[in-house]
Amino acid sequence: MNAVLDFIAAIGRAAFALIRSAGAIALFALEGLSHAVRPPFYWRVFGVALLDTGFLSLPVVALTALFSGGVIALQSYTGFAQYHAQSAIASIVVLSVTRELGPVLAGLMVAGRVGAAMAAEIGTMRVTDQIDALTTLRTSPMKYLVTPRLLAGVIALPLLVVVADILGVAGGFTVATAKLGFSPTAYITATLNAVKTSDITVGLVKAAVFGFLIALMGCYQGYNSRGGAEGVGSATTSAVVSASILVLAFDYLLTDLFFAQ
Amino acid sequence: MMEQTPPPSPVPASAVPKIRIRGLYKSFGNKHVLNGVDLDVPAGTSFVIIGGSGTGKSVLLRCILGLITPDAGTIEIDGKNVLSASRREREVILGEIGMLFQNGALFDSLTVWENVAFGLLAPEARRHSDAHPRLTRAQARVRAGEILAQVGLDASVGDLSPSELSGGMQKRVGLARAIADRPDILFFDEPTTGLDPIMGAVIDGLIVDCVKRLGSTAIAITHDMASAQRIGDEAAMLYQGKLVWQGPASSLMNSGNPLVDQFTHGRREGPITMELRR
Repeated sequence: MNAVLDFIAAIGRAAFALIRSAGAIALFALEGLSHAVRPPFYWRVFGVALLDTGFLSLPVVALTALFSGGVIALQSYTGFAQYHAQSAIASIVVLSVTRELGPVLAGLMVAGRVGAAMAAEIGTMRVTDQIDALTTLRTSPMKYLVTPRLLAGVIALPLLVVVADILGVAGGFTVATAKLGFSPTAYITATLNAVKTSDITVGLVKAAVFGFLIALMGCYQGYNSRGGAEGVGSATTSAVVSASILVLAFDYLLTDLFFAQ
Repeated sequence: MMEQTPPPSPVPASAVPKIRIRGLYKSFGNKHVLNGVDLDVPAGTSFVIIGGSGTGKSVLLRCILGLITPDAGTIEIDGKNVLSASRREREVILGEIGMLFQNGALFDSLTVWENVAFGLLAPEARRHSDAHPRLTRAQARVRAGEILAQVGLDASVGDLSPSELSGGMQKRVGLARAIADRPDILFFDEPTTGLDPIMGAVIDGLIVDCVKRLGSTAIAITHDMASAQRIGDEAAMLYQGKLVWQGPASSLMNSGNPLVDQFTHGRREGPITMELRR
């Protein structure tokens, strides 16, 4: 009997801890966003964050999208050839890339690259008193460190996804025409016929949400890190893991919201 | 248990001390770090607080700065209770304080001159400062060079990154940042920790010069006795969360208080017992 009660108590404690964490993250996000509409605004910090999140993530996102588009073309050809449905490859590639793979892969890549960097930088600032130093210099750490990064995430991810969409389709096109013998004109026509504006815009909305979540988890974990180098390491790991899980979870929720009939 | 000298009032009752602390308590879980601290620091005084590691010296400073909220007590600066002040009032009070952190706490992502001029450029910092309007980056850079010269550093150091500086230089840059806005109050958290004795003496000399030049009130916390005597006019010892002795810094080595004597002379035997697990 006691073992059962202990088990239930353990589940209860875990549930309370999860709720407490969710509440703390929500309050952190609200405070971060509230500074976006209250001047002053740190444009220079925002510019650096935008450069870090967007431009410097371009190579990894571009390569991921390019190869993913090629892989989808190859895999769908292999599968669809059995049913003589190879002509659907162009639409499969463009819909997969714009609706799902572009935002999700870009999100996961940026979570690994930028989310980790944000957590490590802010975490190091926390454990070396730099965040306290900001306060003593009458600068709100939330306004200076968190808000510019949240906004940079929201803006940079959709821009990256535009590039990822183009390169993903280009990857599929290259494989389909160079390796599988498709006509370039027919492939492009099929692609344009398959894709709708809403496919692209929903992908971009997803990207903006993912960008926010990645920056939020990076900032939150870094801001609340404790205990020196080990604490910063844990914060970095937590930022990447939690951001990746949230990207996938919100991808499902947004897909259900926008595409479920 | 042990003889404890209550802190004498260093100023007449009618005078308002620059910093006045009454009944300050702070606990972290079961650990009672501050256990009823009473302290008066008169304007223009350089006050040193000594005490062993983990006795709450840094916590006391952080409570005054508003970085930690105490459980109970009052902290008054110029007669205003910091703890009950509005956000704007607290920003104004913070504007009067400069802080040199133990490890410098320089911003890694900025150059040295940007660190020094941070408070001069920060829009939030200038919001309530009519006396010192916000500078342009060019003006701030020139001003940072002047301040670096005051702490014995060449203006060319301004273009370096903090990671390119030695420990002593980082402390000097931290000091330059702390005095950049000409604060009324300066706090020094272990200013000589990690430095060799000569560099420690150099930093102490710079601190004394800066405090005198600005006419500031200073509180330094340290367990470096040589530093305490060089920096301080007045001194006090924090032990078990309370101030157990207060007197002239020059009498630290012969205070007559067994706790202070054991600490300042580094004796193993005495009323202070270290909790060592064997």
